[in-house]
Amino acid sequence: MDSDIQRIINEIKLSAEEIVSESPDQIKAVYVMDKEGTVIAYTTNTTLVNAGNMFFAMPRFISSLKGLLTTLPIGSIDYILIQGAEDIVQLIGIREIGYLMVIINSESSIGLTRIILEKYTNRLYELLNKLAGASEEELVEVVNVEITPKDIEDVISFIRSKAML
Amino acid sequence: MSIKTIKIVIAGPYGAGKTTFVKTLSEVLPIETDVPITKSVIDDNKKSTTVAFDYGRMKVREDLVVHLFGVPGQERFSFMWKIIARGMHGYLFIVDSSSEDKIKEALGMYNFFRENFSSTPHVIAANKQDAPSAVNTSTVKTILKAPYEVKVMPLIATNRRSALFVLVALLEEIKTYLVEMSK
Repeated sequence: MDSDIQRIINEIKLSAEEIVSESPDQIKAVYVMDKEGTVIAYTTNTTLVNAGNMFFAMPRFISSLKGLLTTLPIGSIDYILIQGAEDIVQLIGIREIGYLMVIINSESSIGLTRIILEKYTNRLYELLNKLAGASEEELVEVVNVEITPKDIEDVISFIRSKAML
Repeated sequence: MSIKTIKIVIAGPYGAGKTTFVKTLSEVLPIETDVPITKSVIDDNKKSTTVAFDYGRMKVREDLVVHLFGVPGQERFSFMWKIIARGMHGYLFIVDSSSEDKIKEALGMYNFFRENFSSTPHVIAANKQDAPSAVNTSTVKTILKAPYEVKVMPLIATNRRSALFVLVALLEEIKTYLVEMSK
């Protein structure tokens, strides 16, 4: 892992932990995601939840929200509140680069939590921007000439010949 | 001469046996490891890729190379999974099947790959089948909620024959997919 990338992830994770520390009796978990919903860092408040079950694959969630928004004339995701039977999800867009999401346990702290989220969006915007830059520099896609079934068959034959399967 | 590159990703949570799997393969197959991919070894019309996650490469023909990429298993690197997996032809998802809890730990990562690469051929490898309490492949499939058509293969990553069978099974899946796509 590239050290720049590692350092930026650590800083994002630290921000997530700071958010929890702003309201430790109410914030259960914090997630920082990229624009497609991939979780870059998350942290759980272990005094309120079991950390083991709090990692989610979010891309489908984000794409569902985006799908929903395209049917509504309200633009991109700025802020969303979802109330569940036990907890409340608050999600805020970090401009066009990602999302910050928290799970809270009390309706009474919705307003306060929103203020906390807004307070961190600028810092997270900068970090996500840096991360996107570092990732693109470090990782460039392999673009292939088209592979045919015959090529794969050749690989299988090659393996069989080498390994005498 | 243009060189064809087959990109295979080895995924799975931390401690599932990804590195062991590739290491075992490299004992029987001419896999070069720790050799960085650089722009100089691929065509001008292709882009380069990172070295950090390259498990190895195997030259099959002068114009055909197989690249095995590993992804870091820790969830905090989940955003890198997508970047590494971009453009892959297929992936092997290795889980530690020595207990049901270990398999459950893999669910988040498996869902991630299913969501992001829903049409990419893949095989699940239930590793550590030599463990006394190993979970059978059908239970692994149930826990991961894998689709009916996805193969779950037993694996002992330290065993050469077992590792080779799993790799060949994945290649067969990729071939079938390519045949279907070409119809």
